[in-house]
Amino acid sequence: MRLLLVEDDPLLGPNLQQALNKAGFATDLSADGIDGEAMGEIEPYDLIVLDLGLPGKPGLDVLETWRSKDNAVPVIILTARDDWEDKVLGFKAGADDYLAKPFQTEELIVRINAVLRRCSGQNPGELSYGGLSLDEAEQAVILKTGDKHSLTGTEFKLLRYFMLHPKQLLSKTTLTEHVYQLDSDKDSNVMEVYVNRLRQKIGADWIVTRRGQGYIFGQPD
Amino acid sequence: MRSVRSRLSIGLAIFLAALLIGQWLWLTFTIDRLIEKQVITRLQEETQTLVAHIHINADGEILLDDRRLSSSYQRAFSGLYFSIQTPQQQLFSRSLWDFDLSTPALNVGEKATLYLEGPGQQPLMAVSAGYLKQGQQVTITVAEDIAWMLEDKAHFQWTFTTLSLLGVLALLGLQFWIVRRALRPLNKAKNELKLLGQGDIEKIDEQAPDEIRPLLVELNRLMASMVIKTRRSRQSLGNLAHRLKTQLTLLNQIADSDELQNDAVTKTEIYKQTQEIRQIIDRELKRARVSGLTLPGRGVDIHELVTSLADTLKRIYQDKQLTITCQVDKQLRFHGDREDLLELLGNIMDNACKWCQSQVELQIYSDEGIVIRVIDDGPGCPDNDLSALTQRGFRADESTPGSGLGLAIVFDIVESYDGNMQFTQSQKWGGLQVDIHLQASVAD
Repeated sequence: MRLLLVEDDPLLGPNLQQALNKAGFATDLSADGIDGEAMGEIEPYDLIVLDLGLPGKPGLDVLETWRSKDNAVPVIILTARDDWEDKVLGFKAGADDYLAKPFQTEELIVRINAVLRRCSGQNPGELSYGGLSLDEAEQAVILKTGDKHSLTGTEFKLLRYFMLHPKQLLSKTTLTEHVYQLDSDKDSNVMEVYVNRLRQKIGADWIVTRRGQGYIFGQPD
Repeated sequence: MRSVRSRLSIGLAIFLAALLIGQWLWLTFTIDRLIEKQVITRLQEETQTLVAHIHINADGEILLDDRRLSSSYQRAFSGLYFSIQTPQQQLFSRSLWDFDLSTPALNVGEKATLYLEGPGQQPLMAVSAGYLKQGQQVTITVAEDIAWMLEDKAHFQWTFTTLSLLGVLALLGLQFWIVRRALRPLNKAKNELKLLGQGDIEKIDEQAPDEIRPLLVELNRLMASMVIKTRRSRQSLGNLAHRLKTQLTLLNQIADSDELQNDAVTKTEIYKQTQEIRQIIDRELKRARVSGLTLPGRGVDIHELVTSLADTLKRIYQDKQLTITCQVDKQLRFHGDREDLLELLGNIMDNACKWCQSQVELQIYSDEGIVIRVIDDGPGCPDNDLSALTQRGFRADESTPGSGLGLAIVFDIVESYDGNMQFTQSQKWGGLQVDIHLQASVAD
């Protein structure tokens, strides 16, 4: 899951980025409205966490610009002003959820997961698909048999992305873009290694390879 | 006598009436005097003519040479009469026929003017004068029928009175028109103030005479500065909240750090403290932000506001299958602050959405201000809690998340609009029903 965090506070921004990375989100950080707006347009993020009080360009304007350009990326708004005027304006501008400061990092992660699930048409709550379920707190996968396998950071990110986009053809490039953050070394061949490792943990039939095109995740027949 | 116009009108009318009545009295009196004086002078001359034409013989008998006198003295009841009296004798003109025109005897040089009733009820004016003729004291009286004069006088008075009255009416009309015209800018300003109060205009037209323009300019300036100050203070409060809360989030992050991972007590304590500080900030900032002001402007479009709010709530509670029914007249406007109303409705509706099964209903209508009713189909509230809810800050259920802050804010807002709020059991769905009345109507 690629995430963009737009937050101008010099301490809170990096802290949150670190926490989100730890939670299995490849998170990029932008510290002002203009930069953030551009990044949100260029990179294929799965979700954006947007602070409203931003230097350069107010968060609401940034959100409105994205929506006016048909950028439907899910957006969670962070704001210090916990009043209805902001909530109404935020949702009107196209936000998907709203979180008032101060919040606990855990709460933000719960909201992020809920929005991601909702946007991929799944029930909020525990992420599961076809008997396979994901323990997001422990970063582990639980099989139909009840066996629990812990996952590495990248495996976890990859499986979550698969589970949120089942039965879809996903190219190696797409997977790379959504699993790694901006400044990391992106070698799409490494994907094959991770996919194979996942197959060993959940069963080889779950992920089908389409030669030259990519992978399809789905319940084995 | 409260309006400037009636003061001016009444003052001017009294002055005008006094002036014209004085003029009428003076003119009537003067003209009467002039006519009478003319008649008296003529009659005096006539007595002198008579003196010149009488002769008193040795026996004291009066002889009158009437050949050179006016023939009117000969014709009976002609309207011109004389009487000549000596201590021994009285001589009357033939025109008197048998009427006795005796007048008091006068000393030499004395004169008198008398009003008498003559033959055939003729109104007479008589002038008597005392003379000395051939050593004899003679009183000569000449009287004239003044019916013509009285008639002239009446005619003049009638005409003059009529003309005066017409003049008064015309002047009063003119004065009324002038006062009205002079005060028209005031009336215009009054109407504009009313429109401003209703929120139909945002600024008073400053085109007015020099006397009231400074007032209007100042009023506009004050309104503008009030709007700017409200906006500025809200902005700075918002900035303050932003800074403080970002710091609090950082504090939470510290609690999340690896060093404290094993110290659950400290971690929980930090979370608890940041949450408490947040509530204090929210409570005080929101209380300070409640304006309760009826700012000039078109008023708040309630329908538009409610629609946005319902959309927002549906998104916040999208995991619940919510049906929010809004019954709001499209024309309805709230003459108060938009953020106050939104905060009030947001908190009440949010509570209803939180507790309902699936149905929330909102009704807003105007009734000396506006009346807001929110009903939900949730579990409602026990009766003794309903009355306790009316006390500020009270929370009916301590076990669910929420700070009770929303309700306290709602109380602040309702109070600042001189309103009242009631909690009852809904007849319709059995859930909680909130009724709020806000006095935000237009002042006359």
